[in-house]
Amino acid sequence: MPADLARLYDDHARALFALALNLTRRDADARDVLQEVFRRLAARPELLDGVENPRAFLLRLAHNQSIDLLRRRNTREKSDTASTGEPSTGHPFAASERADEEGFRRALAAALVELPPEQRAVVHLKLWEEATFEEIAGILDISPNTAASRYRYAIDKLRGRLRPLYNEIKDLWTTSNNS
Amino acid sequence: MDDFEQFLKNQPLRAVPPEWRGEILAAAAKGGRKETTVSGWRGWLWPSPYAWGALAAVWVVILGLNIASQREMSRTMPRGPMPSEQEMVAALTAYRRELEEFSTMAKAPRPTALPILKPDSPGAWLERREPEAATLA
Repeated sequence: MPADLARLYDDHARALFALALNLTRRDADARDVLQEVFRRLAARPELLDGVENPRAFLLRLAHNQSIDLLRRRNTREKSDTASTGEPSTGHPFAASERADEEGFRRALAAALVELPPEQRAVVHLKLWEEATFEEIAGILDISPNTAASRYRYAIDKLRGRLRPLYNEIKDLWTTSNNS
Repeated sequence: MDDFEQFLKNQPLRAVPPEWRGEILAAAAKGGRKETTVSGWRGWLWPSPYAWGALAAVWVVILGLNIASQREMSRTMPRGPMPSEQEMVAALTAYRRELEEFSTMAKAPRPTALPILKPDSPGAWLERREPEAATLA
């Protein structure tokens, strides 16, 4: 096993897995994406030669792989009418011991699923990768303006969907912190 | 970024299951070696292997038709020995003689046009018809 590959895995696997899981919503698919990204790197180590931002490059690979996988999955599920498709097996957030927090994370995961994948990818990169719109544009091969408008549109949808729950949790936390 | 966005951002993401690390890296290293052995011909065919396959099939059909037509030609062509030089000269001389005959015929004066016979008067036609009318009567 090449040492560089192991180092790249340790540095970036978590981010790639989270993006892939947010897009595909199945552990097995996210694992396939992760494995394919590292298989490509093992096959062609020169891919990273001259790359200034390996994280952005790997996120781009993972995003493209996830989109390909989603398209293949949709085609397969449409053609196989007898199959109802494998249900989604997980959301991208860590489990919480607090019921309200866990409830909010589940609601957030459900609201994210309702976004189109291109908006979901922008939201994920902006919020959980803290990428700028320029960086997001580079990763998703779109213009920074498109990235910004997709983000605004998606956040408005999430706000509309999660606002009541968000207010409730905020009030609960404020009350518990004060008491 | 407002409070709501900040709140979303603070939701922690799941970690990769730790047991995947060894499996993924081992599979990646193994798959990477495999790809180097097959990337040669796949690289040539990529990204349109079906299009290249169809083109190859068309070429095979064309080659087959070409071979079949060559066989047909060789079957219809005379298979006797080549004529001798004397026979060729004799055939060419005869051909030349025929050409000369044709050219002499072309130079000969054309026959004059035949005079057009006209009835002397319109009554001539009527005279000819009279016997028919008599027969009918």
